[in-house]
Amino acid sequence: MKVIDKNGRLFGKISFIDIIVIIVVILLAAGIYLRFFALETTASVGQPSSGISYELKVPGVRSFTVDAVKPGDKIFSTDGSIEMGTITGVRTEPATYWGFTLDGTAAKCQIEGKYDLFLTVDAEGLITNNRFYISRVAELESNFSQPFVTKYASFTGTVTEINPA
Amino acid sequence: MENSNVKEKRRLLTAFDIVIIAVVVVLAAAFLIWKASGKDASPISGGPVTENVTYTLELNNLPDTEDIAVGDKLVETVKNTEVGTIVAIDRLPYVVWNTNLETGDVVMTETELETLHLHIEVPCTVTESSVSTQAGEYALRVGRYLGIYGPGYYGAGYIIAVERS
Repeated sequence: MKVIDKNGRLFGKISFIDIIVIIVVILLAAGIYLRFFALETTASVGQPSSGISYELKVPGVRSFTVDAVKPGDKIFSTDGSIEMGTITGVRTEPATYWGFTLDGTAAKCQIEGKYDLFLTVDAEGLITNNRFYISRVAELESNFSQPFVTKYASFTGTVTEINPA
Repeated sequence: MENSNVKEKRRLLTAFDIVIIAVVVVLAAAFLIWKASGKDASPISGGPVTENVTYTLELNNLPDTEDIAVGDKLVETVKNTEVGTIVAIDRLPYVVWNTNLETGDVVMTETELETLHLHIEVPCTVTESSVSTQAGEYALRVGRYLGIYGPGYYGAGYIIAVERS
């Protein structure tokens, strides 16, 4: 029996079109399995998640932003795709900045009507070599600033402290 | 010979064609079952909810505010999608922040100009992570800057409040 017969069929049975379609279907099935099943399983049987607690400072905001953030609110990356934890504590202080008086002296100056907002956030993630990965994918370190969103507010926060929970 | 040629011509589907069709049908059925199970919804929510939400937009120091009235329908300036109808307007003095050069403190000063707080109602899709307008999927969050067109006027300012559901 010839490998390819006069009609272009492999061993007289399968055409090349059939082979291509089979390959596409197998790849599609494998992709669906990996996307929706295998990766989740892998993540859950790998290194277990750890509790991570961090504090965010959101400087110089008005009362509207303070009122829009409450304990229990979930916090996300700026596009909303990664959950960065749940706010467990909200604290405010009068907003200040380092400015100068008329004689050139540096002074901690007040900003009337604005507040420095401090959020305590509890999250799940990975701690590897003293590096913190929130939701196992978003690295977060002390002194790092980035935009965050909650369901009702958007702001830029600076991590002032991060520790295992 | 002639009979086998006739048989080959009459056979519309080979065995492998049937196998391919069966695999595609199984994959399609699995996909539909997975969709119907609701697992495709956000894992952190029970699914989106549709409701009317009221938010507040602050417009500062506009030269002409006489035409802005309750009942005006607004569209946002980027994609011209509807962002709601004005249900109430608060008119307040426009406050600016300026630095006291002697102390370095930043103080609030009232001016004779006007600030408008527009209370706007709009149908929204509400999930665990966002409140978005139905028309243009614009996420309403305190701190976001929004430009709007009303009947014969333009304005831009920050969202200062979003009603919690």
